Amino acid sequence: MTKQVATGVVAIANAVKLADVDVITAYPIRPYTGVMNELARMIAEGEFDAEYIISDCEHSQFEMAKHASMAGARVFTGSAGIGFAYAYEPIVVTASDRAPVVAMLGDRTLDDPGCFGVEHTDALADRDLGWIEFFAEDAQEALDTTLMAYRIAEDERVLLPTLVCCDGHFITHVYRTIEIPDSGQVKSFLPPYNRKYRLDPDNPISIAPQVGSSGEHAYEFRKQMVEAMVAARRVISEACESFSKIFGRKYPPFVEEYMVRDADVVLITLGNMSMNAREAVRQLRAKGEKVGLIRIRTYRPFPDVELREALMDAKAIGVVDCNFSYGSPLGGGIVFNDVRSALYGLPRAPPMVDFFAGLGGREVAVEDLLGMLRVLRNTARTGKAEKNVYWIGLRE
Amino acid sequence: MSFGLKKPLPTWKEMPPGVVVPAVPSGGKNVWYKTGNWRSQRPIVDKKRCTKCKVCWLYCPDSAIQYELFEADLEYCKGCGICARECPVKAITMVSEMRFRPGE
Repeated sequence: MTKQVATGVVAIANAVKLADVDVITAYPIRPYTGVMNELARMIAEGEFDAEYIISDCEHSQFEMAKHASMAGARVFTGSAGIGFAYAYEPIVVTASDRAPVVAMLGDRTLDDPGCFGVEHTDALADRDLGWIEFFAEDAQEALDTTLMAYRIAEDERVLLPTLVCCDGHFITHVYRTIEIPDSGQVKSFLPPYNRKYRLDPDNPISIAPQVGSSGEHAYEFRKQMVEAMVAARRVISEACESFSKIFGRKYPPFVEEYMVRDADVVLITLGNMSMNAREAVRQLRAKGEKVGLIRIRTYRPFPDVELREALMDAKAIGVVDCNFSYGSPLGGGIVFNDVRSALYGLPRAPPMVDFFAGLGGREVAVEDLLGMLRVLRNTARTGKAEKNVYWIGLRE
Repeated sequence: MSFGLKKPLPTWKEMPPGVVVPAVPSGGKNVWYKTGNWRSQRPIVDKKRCTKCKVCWLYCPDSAIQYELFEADLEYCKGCGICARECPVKAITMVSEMRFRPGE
């Protein structure tokens, strides 16, 4: 293990190197470009060897990743924001062809207007397509989650592509001290990728021909995908457990709870803003207020059971949404409505409030989060949400 | 792995993952996936002109030209017209399907 001061993109590139990836497909878009640069440097300087393909656009980039994966190669690719949206078609078929591609998504505001900063809409808009989605909180977790992603995606029980989502700028381009594991540790954690059905000239199969164009088979394939997501839950738990044994860093498989157990008021976050949220909760706890934080680490498969268990006794719940969903139920964000749906039917379902914050990469400061917790405190006291949705920090 | 070639159709548990079906061996026909009904034009071969050079057979992207017959297998021919275009003696004409009765 070595320690290094590095950005998130360098951390992820190190994970890719340690996972001994065979094929990398790339097309520049900030902040993913940073991973590309670092991997290119590593290969050019002989630190490791991989087929490094620069594509003409994200569509071809993700297509090539899919095909390499189906031929049995361990693949890394990635993108951000609108670039990921351009690859929508291969993103869909990568999942339905069960190609366990691991992609880094440097979450970035969808155009327009063009911003470099984080919004989670790029990942969340594609949450229903069969990709496992992890949201890292910092550079170290981005590295660790990338390693875990290969183990989970390539598991025979799963075989689903996996997205490691990292907040653009706040994770990708901020320097932190990271621990880079030894390759020996990674070898004992990560078995080789061995795909049963693969593109192989000696044993020809057809993958994804237009079979059953009247729908004889598509329905059954959909059911297989659903079951793969169910199986992924167990595999993710196993991977987290094994990871903590080998590397000593413990990650909860689905949600990270901070002072939730006796909390009246719970805030739910994704990604890097959770750091500030934790600080806000810590400050209020120091004053004796019963507040807590849940950070969602795994968004697909969605942690519905974990959220129901953790939030059963809460009196008010707030969700911080760094995404948009125009015309959605209650005008809420994507995470708000998914959490709300997961809690429906709880005997004493607490009132919920949605906080839009940080859109376009705007900072979500501790003061903003303290404000949200104050709103939730009032909601808990009255038992009723005054408003469903708040826009925090909006000029009005 | 007999998926796609047997009846009754396989259940979701029996199907291999990832839209995988066994490949039809080279020269064989996929009896479960006939594409002839895509066709709007049909290749008609003038047997007097045909020199049996096999250029049509080489070019057909769907392997629908039958090797010894020098005619398209109409259960699979999509009517793309590549054979007619490539035929060096212009022995193949594309004729509208409207000119044929159903089943003809």
